[in-house]
Amino acid sequence: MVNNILLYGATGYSGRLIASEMKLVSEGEPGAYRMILAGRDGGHVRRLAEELSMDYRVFGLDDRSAPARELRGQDVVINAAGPFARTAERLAKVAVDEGCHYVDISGEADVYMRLDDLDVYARAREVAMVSGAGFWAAASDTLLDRALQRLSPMSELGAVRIAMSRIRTFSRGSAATVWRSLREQVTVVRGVRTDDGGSRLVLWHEPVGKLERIFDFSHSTSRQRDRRIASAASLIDTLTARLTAARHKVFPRTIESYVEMGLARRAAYQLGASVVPIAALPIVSALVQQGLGVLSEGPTKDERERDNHIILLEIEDPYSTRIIDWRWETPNVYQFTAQLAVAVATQVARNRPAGWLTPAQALAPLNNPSLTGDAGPFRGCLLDERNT
Amino acid sequence: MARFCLATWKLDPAVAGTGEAAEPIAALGADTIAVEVVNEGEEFAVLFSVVDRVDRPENLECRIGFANGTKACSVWRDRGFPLVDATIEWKGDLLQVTTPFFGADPGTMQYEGLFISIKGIHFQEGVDPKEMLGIYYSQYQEAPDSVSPATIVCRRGIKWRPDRSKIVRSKLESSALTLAVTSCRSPNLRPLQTGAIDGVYMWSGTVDLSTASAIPDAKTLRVNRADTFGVPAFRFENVEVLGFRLELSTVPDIQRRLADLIEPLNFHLSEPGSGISVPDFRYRAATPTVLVELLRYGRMKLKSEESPLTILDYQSQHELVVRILVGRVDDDTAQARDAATYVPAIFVDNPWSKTIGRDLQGFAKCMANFCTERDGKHVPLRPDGRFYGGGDEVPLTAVSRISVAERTDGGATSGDKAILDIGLPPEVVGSEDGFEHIDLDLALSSFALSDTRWRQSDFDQAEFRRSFAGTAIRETMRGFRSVQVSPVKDRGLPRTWISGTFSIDDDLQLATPAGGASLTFHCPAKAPREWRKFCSLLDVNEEQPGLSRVFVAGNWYRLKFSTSLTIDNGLDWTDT
Repeated sequence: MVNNILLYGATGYSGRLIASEMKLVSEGEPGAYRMILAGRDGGHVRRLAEELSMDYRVFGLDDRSAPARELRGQDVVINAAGPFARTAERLAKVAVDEGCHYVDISGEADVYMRLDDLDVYARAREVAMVSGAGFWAAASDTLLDRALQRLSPMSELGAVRIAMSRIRTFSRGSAATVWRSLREQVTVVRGVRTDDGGSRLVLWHEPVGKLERIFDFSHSTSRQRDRRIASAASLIDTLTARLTAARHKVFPRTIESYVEMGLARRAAYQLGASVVPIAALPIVSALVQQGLGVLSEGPTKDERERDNHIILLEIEDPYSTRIIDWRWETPNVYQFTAQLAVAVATQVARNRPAGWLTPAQALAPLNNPSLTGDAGPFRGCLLDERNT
Repeated sequence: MARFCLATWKLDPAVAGTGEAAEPIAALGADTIAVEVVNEGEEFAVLFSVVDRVDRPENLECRIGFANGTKACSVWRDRGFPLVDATIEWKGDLLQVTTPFFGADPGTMQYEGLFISIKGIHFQEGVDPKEMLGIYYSQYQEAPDSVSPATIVCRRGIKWRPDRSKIVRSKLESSALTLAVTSCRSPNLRPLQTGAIDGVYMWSGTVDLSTASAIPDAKTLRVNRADTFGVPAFRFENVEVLGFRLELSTVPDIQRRLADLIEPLNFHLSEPGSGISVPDFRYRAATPTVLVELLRYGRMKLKSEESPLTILDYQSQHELVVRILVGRVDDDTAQARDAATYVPAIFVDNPWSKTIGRDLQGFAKCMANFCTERDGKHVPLRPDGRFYGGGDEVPLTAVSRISVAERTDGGATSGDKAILDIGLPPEVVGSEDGFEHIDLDLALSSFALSDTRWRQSDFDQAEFRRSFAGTAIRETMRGFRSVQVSPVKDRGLPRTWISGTFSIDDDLQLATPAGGASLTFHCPAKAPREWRKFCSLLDVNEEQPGLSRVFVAGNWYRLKFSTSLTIDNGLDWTDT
């Protein structure tokens, strides 16, 4: 059976990388997938489709009838059209209504929290929804899922910390997302005991700048420690980690996500957080958007190949002893986003799960415990289990 | 143990399916009919079904039925039997059913006319233990679809097999069973018609309803709800409200107790597989001020024509509601959102309203009598505000007692128990003075300055104090949102939130009468659980006499308006 996968936002920076990955995957499994490119700009979509020898559709999200018409009969839609605050809820609702699985590469926490309300509808319509299927948050979620499998049947944990190495070159879209996501507070997860003796993982807020830690980014075989400062950030990785912990029935004391920042970035981050009310003014926002417009579209091919990425996962037991200390080297975030998003979409198309899934849940059937490979979605990855 | 009498016969000719929901028996076609009357004490139920074999029935499918026991009617409806409350009188071998219906001509619903009578029903008990009757009822349990509650219902097949004993079987002589069927458009009992029936087989004996075993289907289907009055796009004209602001802030532990009252809204926190991966929000009562409102809906109409009904057809009802203002509080925010009213307890006097409310809108409606005083007695009014037997409309302000109805008895009051007595200043009763037209769009209109349903000072919790309170105060007059949970009782189908909007027309009139009013709350044992929970907030229980609360001027109000109800679909775009 051929699975139809439609990529919306195909002509953006991430969209083009995903389209290329789709071509690679569909050529690797001839007849398994029919990839369709879509977007608002007819000329750009058509040119890209011709270049990649794929079908294409042109539609916007102003009027519901257009996406409803185009998603009818599709198996999966991948949403790569940012800013996701403007596209995700609309496209997801139409997709669920049309019985089409929904996958996006959003990294916007507020969008993630709005979309997860649709879980109840996705289950009723027996379609899957996976948000954060790009580098944010599929990478850390996959790593955490793997670690919690290893720790099974432990149920009580101390801190779970995810740390990302710095991103050297942002795409224009990512920069806009960072700007949109700037808040005075950082979202973390805390385990709390309820009155009835149960436990819950609740979202909590800490002021920006309060949570900073030094992480060791060096490989276990390296003689030299590579210790860098990272600041807690409101990443959707924290939100998916909460779901993954709940699914594994583990109860951590806290879940926090960190991003490596140099002195200048830390200062800018904290300053930015303190002027959030001013930044929300339409004129300031317009000026910033104008400024973002002059940024490069994203890293070049050379930059992507050069700029590998590191994700750290630290898990403590209830007595604060570190029981997981993993270092995962991945391709560049944009390249890895493409690999992960296409893997999630193809797995959803094949296995047809239902409801709100974390990316790791969608990728579980791949069954690649080493998270390392020369091919497939984890190509270019290297997992270093430093102390376990 | 109840007794039953079942009659079956063959139609000649058979009736082809019409698809019209107003004709429930004929809707899916029928060639063999069964009528069963079940009786226990003073309670009767009459079930009209199609049957597989007239001479040896094994499978019945009840298409419509009537019951005079209000609780039994709700329970069996939840089990998949499409029962409607009705007055049922038993006179010798004559059974008479009275329930509101739409007659041949467009206009008001008929509340007192005889709907159907059946002559020839005999309850007997046999002694031959070999005489058996093993019949399944194949029914459907239904509840609104979680995605599209306004248009789609989830349906699950279920078979019920009550134990029957002491069976007597007979074949009736010609004309031993006769029907008198009133000509009406909805509900329409076609193909049943007035006259004697030939070739009738009859069984009677005892039936144990408490041990009925159920075999539910594993699969749930989704079907379009194009039922008569089933698509919940209503218009309500000539609505009058008498409202009371009940301030409960001094009640000990009020937040926890209100949380208990709205507990159905938080089903997702306790129900596995409720569709929420990690519940990260809960509904909370926004204020300890609760509204108790008495309403009369003068004309409840369809928004658009739905054959066989027209937009000229209307029905009326009285309603007593307890309204709690709720908001959704997410784990990660300090502000509540989605202000809506939740109704934990609601009483009506129109059986069709009860049916739709329970089936489609998540309102746990119970039947009640709305009484006025006449000759020193509390006399129930018809749903349209007139006395049974006719006469002029009695003003809503003359309603002095609401009592829970154990049985539907038309104008009689047997078995009823008072739940609320209303005492208004004499000058208000029947008076239309003091109503002022309100322009909802004028910021400095008297509406903006008035203290009606909720006020800023009612909000004592940080999450609800600021923007939530502002929105709620404004919007609960202009077009208040409502959130309920369906199904209201277990139907073996997933629960879901039913949210909708009552949009008020620009004909709103408001009066805040001078003088004090009083409400006396009673908590009879027969009152529904939700009402008893509510009464417990006031420290009223079934062992105590009623508790009176006085409402000073400003804490009670009168409203008149017209409104429409729109049920939300979960996948509608809401950011436009």
